[in-house]
Amino acid sequence: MTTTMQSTSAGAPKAWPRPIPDSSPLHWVFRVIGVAVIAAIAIYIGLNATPSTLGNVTEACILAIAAVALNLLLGFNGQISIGHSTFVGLAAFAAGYTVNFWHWNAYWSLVLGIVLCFLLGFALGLPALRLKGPYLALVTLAVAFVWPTVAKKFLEQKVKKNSLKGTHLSPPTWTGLVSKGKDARLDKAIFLYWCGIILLLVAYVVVRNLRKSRIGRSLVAVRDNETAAAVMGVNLKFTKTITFGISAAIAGTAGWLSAARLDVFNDTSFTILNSIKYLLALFLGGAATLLGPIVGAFAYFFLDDYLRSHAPHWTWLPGQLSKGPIASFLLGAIVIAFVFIAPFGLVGFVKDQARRVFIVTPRPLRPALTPSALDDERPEESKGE
Amino acid sequence: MLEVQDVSVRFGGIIALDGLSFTIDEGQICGLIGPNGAGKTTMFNVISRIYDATTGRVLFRGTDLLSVQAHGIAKLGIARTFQNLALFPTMTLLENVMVGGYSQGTDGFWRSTLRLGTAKAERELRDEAGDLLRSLQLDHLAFRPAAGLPFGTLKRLEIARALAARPTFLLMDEPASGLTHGEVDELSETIKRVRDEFKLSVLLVEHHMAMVMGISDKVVAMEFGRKIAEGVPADVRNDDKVIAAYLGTSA
Ligand SMILES: Nc1ncnc2c1ncn2[C@@H]1O[C@H](COP(=O)(O)OP(=O)(O)OP(=O)(O)O)[C@@H](O)[C@H]1O
Ligand SMILES: [Mg+2]
Repeated sequence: MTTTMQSTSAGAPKAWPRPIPDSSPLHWVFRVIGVAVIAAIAIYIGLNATPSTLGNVTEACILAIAAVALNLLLGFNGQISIGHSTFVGLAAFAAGYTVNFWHWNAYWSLVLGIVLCFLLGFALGLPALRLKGPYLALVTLAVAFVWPTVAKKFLEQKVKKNSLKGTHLSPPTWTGLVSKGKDARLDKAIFLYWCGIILLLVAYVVVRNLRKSRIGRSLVAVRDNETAAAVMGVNLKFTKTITFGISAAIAGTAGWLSAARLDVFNDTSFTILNSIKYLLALFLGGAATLLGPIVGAFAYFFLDDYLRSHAPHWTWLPGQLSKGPIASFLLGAIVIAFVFIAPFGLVGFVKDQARRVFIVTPRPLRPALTPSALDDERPEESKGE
Repeated sequence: MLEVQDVSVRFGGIIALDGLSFTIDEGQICGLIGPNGAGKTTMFNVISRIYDATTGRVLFRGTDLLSVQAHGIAKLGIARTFQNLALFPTMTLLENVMVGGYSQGTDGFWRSTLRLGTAKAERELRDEAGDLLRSLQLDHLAFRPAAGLPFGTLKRLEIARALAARPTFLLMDEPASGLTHGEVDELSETIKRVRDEFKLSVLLVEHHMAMVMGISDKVVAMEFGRKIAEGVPADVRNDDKVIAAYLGTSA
């Protein structure tokens, strides 16, 4: 009968790696444990961490949301963008301005940011239809370059100052985070921390759902072979522009969160360096994997944090190295070296290791309705695989 | 069913198709033959709307195909395979075939994002894709990525993926290239079988003469973008111009 390549059916059953059938009870146990551990860590941090740690994790969430957004566009749809810092900046400015000058409710400013970013992303997706690879990179690069100028003009003409205040999002009463005085800072940090976690979770679920659906398959199909995708019925124009829009909208939520966290920000707050950070985080964690951008963003953020506070004291470093911008230098070197060793990022690396122990075997195909005589006459070339 | 009327395609100075006309009837297997560079693939690309015709018309069951966009072709019931493979290398064979069924689905961005009411269609699509893989003896490779598999295997995957669109008209560009003799015979059987099973009309480009002559109901022979013969296989095989074209003595 069927010659399977899975190690399970080859003669004597091997103990390792152990096959775990997809969606089997054991598989569910693993899933539930995974989710429970992550939830427990998140809750533990929310209950016990200091305001500065909470602030750091929130900042890491912002980076993670932007990386998740970029992953949808670049990882799954194959469209590169070095302009995602612009969407983050646009949503931050929209929130800061409407809340401080028009006295909008901060949550409406989130909606506005999402809509504006979607529209700008969609518009950027239009030239992207005719451009590929490095040319698309250049166009988005130009957008990232132009943003600070636009932002500066906006500050000069509309705000009449050289910076914009944050939205000072305060916790609603139902959260119970309403202390006065010196605990107020902690309460606000806790609230923003949960905002970050929830927005990241939503971004993750959106991208995950898309990926596991008909649309997600079409995105990857477009990335892998545009012509074939079109012949299968995928509307390239529609798919690519909408994906650009959704990716930009997700990045916008990161910008809104930034505006809630920062006291002030200006035209230099969301530059091309941020875009590069999103790209590095994505590739560090693993592009085109669902968890890659999140793992990558957290790894990047805390590595960056560690190097910033420690590297300047490393007097054993040769020459004047520890005096310069050593942290950025080391960080760049580490990320590049790692991606060189593990091209599929941290997630790809861990998956490879885990596959030595457990293999999740896909749900089998529906069995043949009528056993076909052809089943026994397999062509030669496929037997050896 | 298909009427190609006076179609010409020009690439700069090259005339790839030069006033080509032919017809295919419902349920027919039509062979399209001709030496390298005759314009066979170009004809495929015009029908699947990857290329525009410089002049001429293509009617498919009364619809003017040249006014349809590339992504609208599958909905009309037209599917194709590619001469040099156009698969999705990072996807598994199963996923490749599932993308083939894209035109049959209705879940858009909203429903996919919310994953509301998508489970049933997904399950059915997966089941059907599995059946198609089995039908082309590829089910044992269902969960392997397409990248790196042998050419002959991938050629069959192209057929499975095309069938997932539930076409009524299937275009196959050199499905037998890279196959051994035994496999070619098997492929002929497969093509006839799927034609009957899926009630298809077929346009088949193939250099393997025995195969084309063996399974085609009619054959169109072309050279330099022009039709040189059209008719039942026995007549086309014995046509002087066709013989000359293949022996390379044609002016
Ligand atoms: N995109 C293109 N741009 C320029 N010239 C093209 C293009 N596509 C095809 N041609 C030219 O058109 C002519 C017909 O090519 P086509 O691929 O249709 O031939 P074919 O009959 O399929 O040949 P083969 O048997 O080798 O596959 C060739 O001279 C080819 O070089
Ligand atoms: Mg060809």
